[in-house]
Amino acid sequence: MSARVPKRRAGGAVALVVALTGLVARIERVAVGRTSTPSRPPRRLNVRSGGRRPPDRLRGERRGTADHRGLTAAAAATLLASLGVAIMAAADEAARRDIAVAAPLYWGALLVIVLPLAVVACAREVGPPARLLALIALGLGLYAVKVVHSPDGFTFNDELQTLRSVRDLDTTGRMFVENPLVRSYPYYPALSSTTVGLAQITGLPIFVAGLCVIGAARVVAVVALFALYRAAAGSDRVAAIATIVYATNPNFLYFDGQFAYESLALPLALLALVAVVRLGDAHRRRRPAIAAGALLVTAGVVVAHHLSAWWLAAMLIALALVSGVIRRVPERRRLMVGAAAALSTALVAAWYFGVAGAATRTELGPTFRTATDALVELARGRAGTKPPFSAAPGRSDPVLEKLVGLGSVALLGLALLVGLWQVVRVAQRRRSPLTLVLALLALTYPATLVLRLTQAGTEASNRSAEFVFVGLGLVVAFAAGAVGHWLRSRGPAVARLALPLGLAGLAVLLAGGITIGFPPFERQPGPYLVGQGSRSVSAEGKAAAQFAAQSLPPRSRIATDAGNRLLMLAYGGMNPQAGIASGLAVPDVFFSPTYDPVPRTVVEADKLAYLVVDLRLSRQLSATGTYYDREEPLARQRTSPVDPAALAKFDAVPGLARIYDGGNIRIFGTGEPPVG
Amino acid sequence: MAANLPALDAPDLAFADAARRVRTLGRRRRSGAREAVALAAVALVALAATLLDAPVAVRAPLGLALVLLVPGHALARLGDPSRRSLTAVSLAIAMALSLSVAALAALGLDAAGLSVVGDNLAVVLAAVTLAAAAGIAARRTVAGHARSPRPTLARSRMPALFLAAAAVVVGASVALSHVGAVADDRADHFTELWAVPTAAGASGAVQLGVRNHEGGSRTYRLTVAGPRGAGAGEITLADGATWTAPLDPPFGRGPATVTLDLAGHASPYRRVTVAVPLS
Repeated sequence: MSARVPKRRAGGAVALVVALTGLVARIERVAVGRTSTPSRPPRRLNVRSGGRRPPDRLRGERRGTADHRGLTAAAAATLLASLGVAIMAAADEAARRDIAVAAPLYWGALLVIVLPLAVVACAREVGPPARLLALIALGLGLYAVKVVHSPDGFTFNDELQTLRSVRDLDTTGRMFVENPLVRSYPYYPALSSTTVGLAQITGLPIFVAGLCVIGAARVVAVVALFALYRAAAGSDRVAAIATIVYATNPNFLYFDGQFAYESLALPLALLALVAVVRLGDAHRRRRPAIAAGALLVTAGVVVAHHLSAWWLAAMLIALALVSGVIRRVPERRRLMVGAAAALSTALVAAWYFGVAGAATRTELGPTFRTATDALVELARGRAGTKPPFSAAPGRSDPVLEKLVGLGSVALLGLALLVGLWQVVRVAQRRRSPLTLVLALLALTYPATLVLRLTQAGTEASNRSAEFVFVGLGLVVAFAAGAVGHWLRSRGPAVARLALPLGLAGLAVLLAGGITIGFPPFERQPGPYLVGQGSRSVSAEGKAAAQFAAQSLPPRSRIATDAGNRLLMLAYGGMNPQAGIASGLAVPDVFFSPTYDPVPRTVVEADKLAYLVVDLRLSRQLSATGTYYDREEPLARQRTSPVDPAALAKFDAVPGLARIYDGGNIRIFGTGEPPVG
Repeated sequence: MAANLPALDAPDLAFADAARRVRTLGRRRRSGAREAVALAAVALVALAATLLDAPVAVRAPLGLALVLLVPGHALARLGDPSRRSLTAVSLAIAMALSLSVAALAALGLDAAGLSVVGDNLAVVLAAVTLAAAAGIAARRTVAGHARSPRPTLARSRMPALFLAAAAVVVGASVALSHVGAVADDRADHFTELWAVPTAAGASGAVQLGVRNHEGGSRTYRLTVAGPRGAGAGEITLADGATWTAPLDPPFGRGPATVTLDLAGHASPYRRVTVAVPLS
């Protein structure tokens, strides 16, 4: 019996290897372009006509066979990519147990997901359906990476902040209920309303409904990008390459896969842009329908996310201006694009000035202001640059990751130079304003790198990647095409290098994008970490939040650390306070060694009914350099955890009552009225 | 003879072509009507399942179709009758339109003073679908340009098998991840103790609570100490179980302390204070 088990295992391994080899062979057949010259005539051709069909039908059959092989290869690559998702699930499980193999498995899984699908999507002899299938599988495969990261609930910062608005809508049935942490969320309610609607109509939990909505948006994003690039480049293959390059942007994997308003809005914005571009080329009878669809989707974008809506309006304005400059653009197309730009701008302005302006300014104003101030200070020489690849003092990314990150930036810069020249040629030949507009958008990429020289600018730079890469993807794809053409012109031996070089470049862009966008501790789940969104979500924190939801008055004003703040907001239904109260920083309540005078003043001025104290903050250095919020004293400069005595002081204060004790987390009632 | 054939054949061919066109048009009209009926049926069944609170297994697929696909597909077909098959592009268009319709419908409900709840939203989405379906059925079919046959996944066995296998692998990966994440949460062993006023002005009564997350059954010793004395008792709780009890004020005015002890841990294991004015 004991001898049979190894035999069975060996047999299983052999079968797996054979199956994988078969899948790879099908992909390789398409990648090296054998479909153009099939080794034997298609079977259906022989059976039905005996080879007596007219030449056009014959070509149709051959194309059909090539398409069929392309679809088979795309499906085989999808199956391989699904194994990559399985490897990623194993990598995340290893990360939860803090096993060292987690990181190599993570990178390996990403390559298994992306590379086979990229090979098929970018192959020469593949039809649009197979390319699209491979690209959709790529988009969903990378989305699955985010899903297996947090498979039992939302854990990212923006997700938990959004969840509060979703739960408010779910319980009250009313929109525009105040969100105490991000005031703009209720004023861009598209994601909340569709998720709540889907959850209530299907009976599924909000978490599952949210995953479905964002998954659908991911499909829309990939298809819209492919259609956009196809319209700009006039080539399916360039469009596929551009879409894959877009997928390497730092935010595609996690930020735009998370349950947050931009993840829904940006795909819709891309599709609206495609619709406007197609409007000029469409048949007269189809134009009203396309225009109506574009208007509907644009309205959806406007009520979904501020930056996406502004980006869409800006792109349409740029398209109208460039169309006006290019002399050979038909007058009809100029008018249509101009009308679309005017209409979308009017919708955006109406929503901003009529509904969401104040809340939007509250959210985005400080981000842009601090980024600008930091850059000005840097230019004046009053401030130093931020060290790259360091999420917090004392925490630096591994050297190899830094090199890959810098390599990806260098590769993109080089591709930008090569690709722009190609873009100008194509734009002149094809009279395509869209191509020029996307190239202009790509030119903003170096400016976003400058923003990264400061800590405040890094956030603004991070938030721009998914928009800038819409242009950068096309330019890099043109550069890749030019390099491939040059390699092929050097002879067969050099031409064979095109595929491995292309895949190596893609691997660098993918890994570099992730390295730039997310610090190592944020990419995978794992043991509890202080001060970090998803890694600060713990069973104890969730239990305390559930206690608050069940036992404390809803919307009570509380003060707590960064990790518990999100849980208390989303699951506890509390109103966490942060920032400054009466000229004093709210985090001083916890840092101050005594309760008088500063903490007491803050509690009374900010009407804090409860203080949530997490003792783990006194045992661990924060992963991000902050424990409570940006306003805390010595933010991002602390080299030791919070003083344990400062967290223990509340027990000795008359009038404060410890009403909850979960071990690490304690909640104190201050005697202030619960709802301010 | 051979030279005359084309001339003789020509009228016949023209007639055959015209007859084929008429037949094709009829098929398209019937096809459009069938599709309109199918869309309307899905919308109505999904609406009925929502309003009748059908089991989740029934509501989930229908609801997903009603929110994410059907209204948008109906609108897209109304706008472009020549597009017949559900391709990746038309799927994306249908989903984008559906998501936009759902978001705007919710906004409309709120503006009209109606609750943004599933039932109301389902009614609006079904109404949009029915209106579009009626438009599809009533609309004169526009002849689309002939398209060369393309292989579809429905007709290709091997790709469909690969994709089905991929879906199974991804589904299993997500399921296993979920199991791992839940197990990881349960690996944190702790106990919660709380004491909160039951309600404002409820004769000063306090709700005591203990919840066990220790990974197994545990016996705790609960002690309540006030200015005039103390009382104690034992509680045995299974993993995940909760014990609650009202605490009447037998220990006089002023703060009382509630402690929880667990064998093998420092004493007190947990402690809370009762600060409400006990009368």
